[in-house]
Amino acid sequence: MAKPIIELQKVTRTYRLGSEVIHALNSVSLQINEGEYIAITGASGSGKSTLVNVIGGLDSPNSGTVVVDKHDLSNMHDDKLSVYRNKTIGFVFQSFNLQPNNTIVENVMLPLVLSGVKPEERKKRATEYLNTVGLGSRLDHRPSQLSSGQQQLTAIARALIGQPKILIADEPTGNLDSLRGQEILEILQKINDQGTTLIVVTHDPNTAHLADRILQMSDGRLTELKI
Amino acid sequence: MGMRFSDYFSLAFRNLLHQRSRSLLAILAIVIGTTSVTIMLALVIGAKDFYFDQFKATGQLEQIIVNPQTGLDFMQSQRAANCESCVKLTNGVANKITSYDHVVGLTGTADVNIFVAVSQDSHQKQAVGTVQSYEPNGVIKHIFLAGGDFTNNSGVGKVIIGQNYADQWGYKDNYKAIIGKEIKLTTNSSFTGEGASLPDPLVQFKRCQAGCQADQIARQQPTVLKATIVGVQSDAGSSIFLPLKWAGKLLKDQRYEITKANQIAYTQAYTTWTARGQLGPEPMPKFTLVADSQLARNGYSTFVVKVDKTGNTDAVARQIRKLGVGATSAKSYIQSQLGVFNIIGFVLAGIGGIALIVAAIGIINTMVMAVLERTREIGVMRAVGARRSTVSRLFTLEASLLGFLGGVFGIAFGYGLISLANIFINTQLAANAILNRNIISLPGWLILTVVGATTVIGMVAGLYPAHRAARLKPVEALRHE
Ligand SMILES: Nc1ncnc2c1ncn2[C@@H]1O[C@H](COP(=O)(O)OP(=O)(O)OP(=O)(O)O)[C@@H](O)[C@H]1O
Ligand SMILES: [Mg+2]
Repeated sequence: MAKPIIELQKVTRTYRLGSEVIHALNSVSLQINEGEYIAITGASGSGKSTLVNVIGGLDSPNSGTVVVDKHDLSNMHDDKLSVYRNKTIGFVFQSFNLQPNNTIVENVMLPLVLSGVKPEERKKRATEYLNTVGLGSRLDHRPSQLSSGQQQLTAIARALIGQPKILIADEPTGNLDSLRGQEILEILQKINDQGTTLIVVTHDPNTAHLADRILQMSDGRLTELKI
Repeated sequence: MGMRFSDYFSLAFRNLLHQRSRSLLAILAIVIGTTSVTIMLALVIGAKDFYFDQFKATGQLEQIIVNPQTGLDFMQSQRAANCESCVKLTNGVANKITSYDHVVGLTGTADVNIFVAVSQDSHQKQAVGTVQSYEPNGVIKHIFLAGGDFTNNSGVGKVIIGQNYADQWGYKDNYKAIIGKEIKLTTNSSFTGEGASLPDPLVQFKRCQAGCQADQIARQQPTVLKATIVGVQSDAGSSIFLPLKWAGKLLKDQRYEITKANQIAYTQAYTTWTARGQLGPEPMPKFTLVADSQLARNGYSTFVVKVDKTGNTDAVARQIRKLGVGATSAKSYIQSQLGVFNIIGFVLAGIGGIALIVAAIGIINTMVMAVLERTREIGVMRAVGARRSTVSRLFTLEASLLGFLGGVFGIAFGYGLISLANIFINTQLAANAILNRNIISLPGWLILTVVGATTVIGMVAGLYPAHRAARLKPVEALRHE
């Protein structure tokens, strides 16, 4: 029996540019079940990032309700929302977003530092996660000393270290060549196989077809392509 | 949940390290401000303490100077001259004062203005400065470079000399060697006190029997008095001190007079002698030595009253003033003098304060720049679970650390400069045989206050940048290039 973990109802997010109003999300309703692998596609500027940012608690809608894992995000205090981002969600970005001055292991530990986990404990866990993505020998390197693919692997380790229920990847392969991209997608697939709900934003139809469901955004509106 | 205390510190430290040159500039500004504030305050505090110590060492903090004249301050009253309209400082007045509560000692003092020159062995003769006398009963204390106080009041022929004399006579490096040595004090030519060699009145009488011109009268000659040095003291360079009893003997007007009875006897004898045809030796009048005590006539120059506690000096001084005499305490004098130091201190600290305000603006600037530069980093932190308050605290802490480090280095730098200055000042003091050392002091409370203040300045300067950092929205911060 599939349990819904993400429910959006009539979610609208608008931007005002001068007199023009842009509907990045236009009354989007959506339900995602626990453990599902969701692909979100659509043209550039169609609202894909806005959608996952709202789900991930990085952005908040103008109207509508967002309920994730029984948390109602629409009127959540920033402190709780921060805990939600720390615990429930793992985020992987197209541009990696690693802290350039910190080592790989420090980057991966960051969510645990913010939640107050003891130094030995968080170091141990970060090392474990880096081992599983194959970067166990690069712990003390800086992001700039790694290849793009390795940087994205680091970002994935960071997203996973808090053992989130939902992993969101916004065009995770966008900055990688196809071979590296393939590697990343395989890892994401494996994570989903272990039960984590996975949302991947992608331009690439081949990538999208790996998912259980494909959601298509166009001009802020959502349509389901494949069930 | 929430970041650990120690992690705030290590993160803040690392962030400051990563923007090393900018942090250093901000710290440097604080260092300059702190160093100037520190040195200025230390100077004022040191000067105050030095000043205070001078009074303390000589017991003056417990002293009241009683003066025949009213309205003088502590310093003036110590060398006030006798005056006509003054209340005479007699033993009767002294006894009254001694009977007051809290009064533990009293000595009369008398200025002995009779000497013009002083010499020791073959060393160069020196002009005499002030010569004062007092009862050696512990009320008046000196800072001795060698020797000590008079052992008793009847020390006729004993003196304490000021350091300058010993220096002039070549004892600069060995003040001890001059103790027990004899000096010769030359009086002025009108000195007629004890020890003066008065012209023989009979000779004079004979010479001028038939009347003589003023310039034929035998003049009183300067007298040379011998005295033994018992102490060399530092705080009044050219002063000489005598025991009061000896001073009483010196401060006498002696002259030969013919008493009325003797005058009658002489007139009779002379008449008889003349009537007998001036047979035999001419009868001569009988002269009597008459001595007039100046102390009895004028009273003491001052009384120095010792009170049990510094805190009681003002009350006792008030009580003494009811006798119609002047009475001042060192305490009130020092307080009025310290007021000047306080004003100087405030002005100097104000200047340093302005430097610190400029430095605070520097910190604001540094931190605002840091927020701009690290916007994306802030976005990442927020994305993985940093609260607004976490970000805000981190930036406030970084700014506070800048202030703290600036304060610590500023104090250290200031301390270095102060130590150097003290080395220099100490050699100067040693050259002048002043016992105080390390005059400019940096008390612990000042160090804590200054470092605390710069930390708070840093913190306050960090509030605005921290607020800017905290209010950034995660998505927008992440999109920032
Ligand atoms: N901060 C903003 N201010 C104004 N408009 C914005 C802002 N962020 C997004 N938009 C607009 O909202 C719409 C949706 O943007 P979004 O980033 O969600 O698109 P996307 O589908 O992720 O595009 P891409 O594939 O290029 O990443 C776009 O038209 C974009 O211009
Ligand atoms: Mg996008």
